[in-house]
Amino acid sequence: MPDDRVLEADRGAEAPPPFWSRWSRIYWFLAALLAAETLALWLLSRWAT
Amino acid sequence: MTALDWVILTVTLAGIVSYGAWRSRGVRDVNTYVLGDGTLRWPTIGLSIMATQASAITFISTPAQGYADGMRFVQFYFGLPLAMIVISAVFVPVYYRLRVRTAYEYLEHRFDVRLRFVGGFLFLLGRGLAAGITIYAPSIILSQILGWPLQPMILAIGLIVIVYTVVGGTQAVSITQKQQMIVMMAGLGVAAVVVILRLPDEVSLGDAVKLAGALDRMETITFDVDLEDRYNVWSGLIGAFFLSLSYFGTDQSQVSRYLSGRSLAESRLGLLFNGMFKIPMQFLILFIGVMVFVFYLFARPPVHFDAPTLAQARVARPAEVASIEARHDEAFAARRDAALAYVAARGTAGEEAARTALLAAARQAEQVQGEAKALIKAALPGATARDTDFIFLSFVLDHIPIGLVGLLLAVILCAAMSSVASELVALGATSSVDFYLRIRQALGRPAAAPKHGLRASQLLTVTWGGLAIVFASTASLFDNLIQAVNILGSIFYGTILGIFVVAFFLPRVTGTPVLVGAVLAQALVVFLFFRGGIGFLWFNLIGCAVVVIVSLLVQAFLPRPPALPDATARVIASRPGETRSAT
Repeated sequence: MPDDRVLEADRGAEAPPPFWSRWSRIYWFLAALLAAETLALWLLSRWAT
Repeated sequence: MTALDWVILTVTLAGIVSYGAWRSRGVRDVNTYVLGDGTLRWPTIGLSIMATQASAITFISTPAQGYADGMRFVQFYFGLPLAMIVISAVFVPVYYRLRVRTAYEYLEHRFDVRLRFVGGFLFLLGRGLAAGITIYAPSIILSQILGWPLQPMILAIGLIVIVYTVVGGTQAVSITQKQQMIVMMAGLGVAAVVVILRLPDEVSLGDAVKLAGALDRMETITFDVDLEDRYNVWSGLIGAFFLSLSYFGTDQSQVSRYLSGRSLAESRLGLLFNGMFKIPMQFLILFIGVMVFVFYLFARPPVHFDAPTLAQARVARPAEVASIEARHDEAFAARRDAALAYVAARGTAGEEAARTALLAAARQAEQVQGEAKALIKAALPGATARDTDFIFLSFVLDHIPIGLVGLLLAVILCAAMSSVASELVALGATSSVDFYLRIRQALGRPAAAPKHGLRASQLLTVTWGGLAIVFASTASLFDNLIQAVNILGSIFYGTILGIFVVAFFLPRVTGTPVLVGAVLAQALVVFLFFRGGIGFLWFNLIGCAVVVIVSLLVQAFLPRPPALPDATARVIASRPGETRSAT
């Protein structure tokens, strides 16, 4: 059973992988989509009110 | 409800549940019960994630939120896509690598068994209470508005979900959720088209949006910094980011959705699918509510949308209710004329004056409706005067064509069943894997046979289902149902998230400091909740931050621990016979 100590060897399995991987492009796309949605909703608010 | 509506409602619900149960037959052990057979592709995972979050409350309360408060609630979801990115990049690969069945199992690998119990307990507490509300909310509203008896309805929803959840486990939940989500999206599309087609001929969609804007229903984005304001860009981006991170990254009802994927890539894509479509979906639901608001500018709305309560008030105070209804008729006619005048004046020099007149007429109509609420409160002391949760269903029953009423009621019941099913299977899995089987192991009992683990999980799912039914049967109506669920979640999510944030991002912090931080954070959040004055979304941030800061401070005073032998091999060896792909 794991105990109350940090295990150096665990870090390979329990630490997260590098954030910027080959998935980066789809992450950027999602962030850009959020920015575009925010802008579109702001423009809609401005037009409608 | 016509016979055709009943046929559509019954066939839709029975078809989906039977198909899901049939497709997922053959659950062999606790692992397949908790995670399925690991064959799900990203569209099923994505739809299943969305269906888990979209409860019946979403389809009852969210259009009402649009009707009463406008579009600004959409900001609540701005943090969600960012949370999906972080979970895809950080959380899911670790869960896959360690082959955990529950999120709390990871906490034991990373810290110790105490943190596994704390995480699991907070989940069971928050989700166990929420499951009751998830059943109760649609039941109370549907029973009141349709005249169906409440208790049999709660029992029916609860028992149907318990049966197919217990028979097919996570696999049945995911497969039925895919079909349920398709019905929900179809129903939403139909509702949007119908409400727009029901507007008067002289009012275009553009006119309708401008009318909503003139009456403060299109204030979608607010950049003002205000801690007490529940919905603005900052609470949405920051508070909802933490709420989403906690809900999707650490709540077993969601974690089991994506851990049942064929591979890491499928799980990631399912999560990102949710990040891509959640805001448009919520926008559509709110927009339907706003269009219902515009529709009722031209069609006389009831003075109070909770028709049964209004009928009781009519019996108790007939003369006063009649007087208010007469004034309501006058106020409605004046508002309708002002709305038509505003549409005619659009783009002319008289637009501003027409808008001012419209605002005055709308204020007058709202005042009469407020008086009706006050009269109901006075006439029926025990009754709730709040009627917003009845708005959308009133519209569906009074103004949607025959046949489509059955479809939209199927949407609401599908949503209720889909989220309850995820909650029950996750509650059963966590109780079984993180508590029952783990405590057995700690007591030195021999490893449970596959069938024993399965039976324990099924029995615990039934138990949680029974508790949810009992809770739903005894609960009283909250002020606003969707907010009640979100507030309840926010009280516990911050602390749970804080534990996971330390686990993932602060590798030198050990179990005891996190435990201290978690206890202090939870106590602080509960104190702040009862004290009031802070929007509930901020509890997620506060709880998480307190766990992180206290953990770092306490860790600083502890001696640095020595390194131990490789635990990775031990972790993987403890879960033999699994072949999950981590590509």
